[in-house]
Amino acid sequence: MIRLLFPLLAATALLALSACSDPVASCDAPNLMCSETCVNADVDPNHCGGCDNACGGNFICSDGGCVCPSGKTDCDGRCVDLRTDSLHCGACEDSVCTDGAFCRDGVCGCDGDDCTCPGEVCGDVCVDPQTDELNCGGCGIVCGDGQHCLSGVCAGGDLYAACFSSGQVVPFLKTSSERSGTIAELIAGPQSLALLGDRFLAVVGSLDSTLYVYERSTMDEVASMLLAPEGAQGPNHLVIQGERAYVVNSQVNTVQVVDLSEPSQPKTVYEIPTGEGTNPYFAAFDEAGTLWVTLLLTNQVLPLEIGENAGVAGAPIDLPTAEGSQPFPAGLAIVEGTVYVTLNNLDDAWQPAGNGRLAKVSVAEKASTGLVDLGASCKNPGFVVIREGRLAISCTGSYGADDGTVALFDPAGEDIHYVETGRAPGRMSVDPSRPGYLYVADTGGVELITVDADDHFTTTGACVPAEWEFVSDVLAAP
Amino acid sequence: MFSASSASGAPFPALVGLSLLLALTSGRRAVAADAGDPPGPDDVATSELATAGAGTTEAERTPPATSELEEIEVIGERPDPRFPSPTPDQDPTAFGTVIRADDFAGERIEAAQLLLQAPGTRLRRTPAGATMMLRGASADQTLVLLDGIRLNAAVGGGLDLRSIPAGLIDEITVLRGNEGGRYGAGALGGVALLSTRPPGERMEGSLSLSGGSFGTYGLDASLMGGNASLQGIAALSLEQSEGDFPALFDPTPAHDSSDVRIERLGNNDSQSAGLLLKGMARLGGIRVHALGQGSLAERGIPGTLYWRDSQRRGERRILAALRAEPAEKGEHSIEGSVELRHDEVAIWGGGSRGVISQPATNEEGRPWQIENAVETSLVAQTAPFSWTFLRIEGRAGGEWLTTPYADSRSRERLAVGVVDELYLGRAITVAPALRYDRIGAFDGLSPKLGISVRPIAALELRANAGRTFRVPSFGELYLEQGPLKSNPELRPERGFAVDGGVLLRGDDLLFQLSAFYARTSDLISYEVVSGGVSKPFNFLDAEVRGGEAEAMVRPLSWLSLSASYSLATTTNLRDDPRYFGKELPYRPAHRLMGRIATRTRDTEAFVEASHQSAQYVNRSNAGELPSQTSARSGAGARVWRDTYAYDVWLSGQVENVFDAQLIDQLGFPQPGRAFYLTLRVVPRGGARIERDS
Repeated sequence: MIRLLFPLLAATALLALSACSDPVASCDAPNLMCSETCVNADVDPNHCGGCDNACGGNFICSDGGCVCPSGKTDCDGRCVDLRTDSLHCGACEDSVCTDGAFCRDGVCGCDGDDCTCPGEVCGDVCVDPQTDELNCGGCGIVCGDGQHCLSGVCAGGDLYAACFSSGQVVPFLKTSSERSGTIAELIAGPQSLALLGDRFLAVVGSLDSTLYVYERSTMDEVASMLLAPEGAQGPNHLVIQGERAYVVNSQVNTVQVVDLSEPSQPKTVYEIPTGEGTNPYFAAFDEAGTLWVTLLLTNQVLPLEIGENAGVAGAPIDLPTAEGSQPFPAGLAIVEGTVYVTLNNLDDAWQPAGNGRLAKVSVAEKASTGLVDLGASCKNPGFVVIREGRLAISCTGSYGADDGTVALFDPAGEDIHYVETGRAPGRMSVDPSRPGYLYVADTGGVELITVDADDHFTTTGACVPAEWEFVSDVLAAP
Repeated sequence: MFSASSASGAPFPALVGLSLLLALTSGRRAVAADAGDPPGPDDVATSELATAGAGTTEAERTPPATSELEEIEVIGERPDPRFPSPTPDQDPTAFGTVIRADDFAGERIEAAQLLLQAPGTRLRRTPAGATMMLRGASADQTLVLLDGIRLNAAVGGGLDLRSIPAGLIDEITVLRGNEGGRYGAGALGGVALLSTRPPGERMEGSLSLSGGSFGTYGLDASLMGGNASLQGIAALSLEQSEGDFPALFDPTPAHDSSDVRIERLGNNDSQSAGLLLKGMARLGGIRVHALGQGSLAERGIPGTLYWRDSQRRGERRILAALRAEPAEKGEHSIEGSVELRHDEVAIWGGGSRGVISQPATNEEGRPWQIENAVETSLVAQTAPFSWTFLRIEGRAGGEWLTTPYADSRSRERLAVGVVDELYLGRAITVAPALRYDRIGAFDGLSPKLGISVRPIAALELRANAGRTFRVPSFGELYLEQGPLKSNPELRPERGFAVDGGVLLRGDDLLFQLSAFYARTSDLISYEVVSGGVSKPFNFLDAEVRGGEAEAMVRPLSWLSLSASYSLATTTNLRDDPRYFGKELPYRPAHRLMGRIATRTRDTEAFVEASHQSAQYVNRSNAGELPSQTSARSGAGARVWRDTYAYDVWLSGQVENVFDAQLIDQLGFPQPGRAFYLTLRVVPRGGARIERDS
């Protein structure tokens, strides 16, 4: 007996302890752990092809190698657009435009007889301060490594995608959809993005109830502010107007007004309750400065009068319902005196109960004025933006089905057509500098969807693929 | 100060009487354990064993039918001189705590509060229920058994302790650490063994009426009696509360506390009833134990302060067990049992179903979700040599879920286990255990090895190592509940733990000090996978380090002092720099508790205080819930003594004495200061003397 038992004891001890190993942080292949951060060395310009292999200048990283962004050429370690760069017009060498000429389509010359520099003359050279990394936004303003001159601002990118699970905000160059710049990371559940002026990017983390501010040029964290000292606020949407942020806290039913006049020191100014059990979801300003907030659980929309040191909630406006037991008003946009609110129209199991709906509310009358059927191709509509006078509505569809569309609704004629994405469209952003361009977050996957002015769409991998990863928001900068 | 008498009324020395009765009615092994002496081989051979996991308290108290001696009744108020410990059958080397309901006689107390008396426990309270966590493990990783019947539902989520009628509980044994080797898959953090009141020969009854703040009323009654061959007990527990306590509500938690106002909670009422029928019969050479326990409850689900809800929850539970064992146990014995658990849960009403993680359905009325579980067991026990005691157990059964929210599901449960106790002299006990569990498509081995060394009678050193696993629940695998999706691809969670420590025992002293390390891999976690939609994945790895210190002392016969401290520091090992090395959310690291209780012939009183440290609300450790400190106190007196050996006691208690602002894990307020009165009619001397005799 004893001979049988001692091997049993030994086996037991071995079984118990066999799982012991020193815990270390690691990354799923093919990502690399670089400075305690998981990076995709194929595209990360700070770790291109390996940890700490930073691409200098305004190079980007592609397939693990440092290359110039599309449309640009490497001239002595700097990527330039040979079509417009007056120092490298048409070629890297011996191609400086002189005598007042400037570079157009790779040729030094003038606009007919007009030799007025269309940009700014820095020294003797006509430059475009909107794109010139040596004179970005003004003569002598040189963008640093990893930065690009985008609309006159040195920035890592001008299109941002929030990756919810990995907690990253990933910059892109929107003209080429190429990865660029440094990633902002360590956010728990980045939920909503907004620009603070042209230099800063603000993010709210829904899982850590924190407001983050990043410097766009370096993506360095300028500030992070826990929204409340205790508990979780559940921030869902961030709107910035001027120097103030308006955080829609779904979990505690408030809109929190934060002063960002000093970006490194955000301060809560006041907080407006939207009512117990309302679950405020999205917000948008009308032309008069009223902040309209959708209330998910009570099927209402709420106007908030925003003051300097206090705000006042108006009377909530009931929205009409469709066949679903959970109408869930989500996104909203305001066009010519009408608030348009998307209604998810879900059943008890959170599956589409029918066609998506768009509720209309008169700003002047503060009353519901009707309900638009968005058609069978639009199920579970969530977010809405104004794109060239039309409402672009993300119809997410059923979870896991990847049957979502972007519905384009004309408020004037009330006609509607769809862009079939084969994805699960979520939050969206219009391009402030490219009319008709629309960027859409794939809320069921890791893609960034770009819809061009002709309603054609392309997709770009935005986040590191994982079964639980999805793009929670996108934001296009000028 | 002792008064004792024989049945005829003639004087009888109390201590002699107690000793004699103990010898007549208790297994020697249990006596030795209580006394702090190691159980010897002879004890093993004569001990009575309960069904797996049930502990032996009932069997130990059952008088052998062969006792032909004159029945002696002992009447007295002598307090139990020793603090109870888990019995060797429960686990001879584990660190554990025994909580006796009698020690809280006269107090209005919930099952969850009783469990909190044991170090290592934490409660996860939400408006939807209260579940128990042990040593930093989740509620799903902690087994709860009632009279040997596993209460953890296959649908998952941990056992809601509010579904257990506290008035029916007699004793709770909390075993800390990985107990999969003895109690099966799921016991990563430990196991709580709840025992209902045992039947007895003496015909007697008890009645307790309580009432107090927030429309709270309770009634507990029991009646037992029988003879050496047939004994039974019937007990009833009724409870109702309006739950409409006032609470602070801050509508703007980020700014300006001037908006804070007091609101009275609604839809927080509860009504529950529990019935216990239990009996023992000797049929020839077989002793048969039968158990039937039913309970039903309805209560409001108040939601949270920010999302009030009008949903209602209904619960119905039936537990039944039949166990047969030899009436006279020798060195070898075989016993068998059949256990049944029938659970029904319904959630209905509410304007926004599905939003607060409650199941939702289009079904009208009350959509009952029904779970049945049946298990049969066969246990063979043998002591082939004087230095070893072996138990081999086979279990077979299944669990079936019928739900209005998804397709019906079922899976079989099979287990084979071997438990050994090796007595190497009187100073060393080695207790290996190995169990194989197959639950549906999942299976695995759960080994455990424990050792106990007793250099002197009062001092014991213990150490344990074990591994086990938890299979995904039906809820995680299959149930789609609104925004909560399912994942049939889940793997079992797996974990191992080691612990070690020291016990010091004397007649009026019990001291335990233990330290542990536990690590779990493939932890299942609901991750957000799309806007508002979550799905479970084997997402996390974690480790827990900590320990417990527990001291109980009775410096005077009428005074007992107890204090405990438990530490459970969790570390997230998820390979994500945001979370790696940080604490798991909702796992308060520290808990401190102290209690002073007095009990004399005519009076009783207690003061109890507890402190729980702050806990993080997310994996980033960016936000936290504040620490919680509270106190409760009470006193009572015997107000009447009748000629039929019954006493009437009137007790009052104050909960949350200092009216602290307590909150649950969703920030939902807990009741402030509350007052309760309890009037009880009990056999003279209380149940504790009856236990001893």
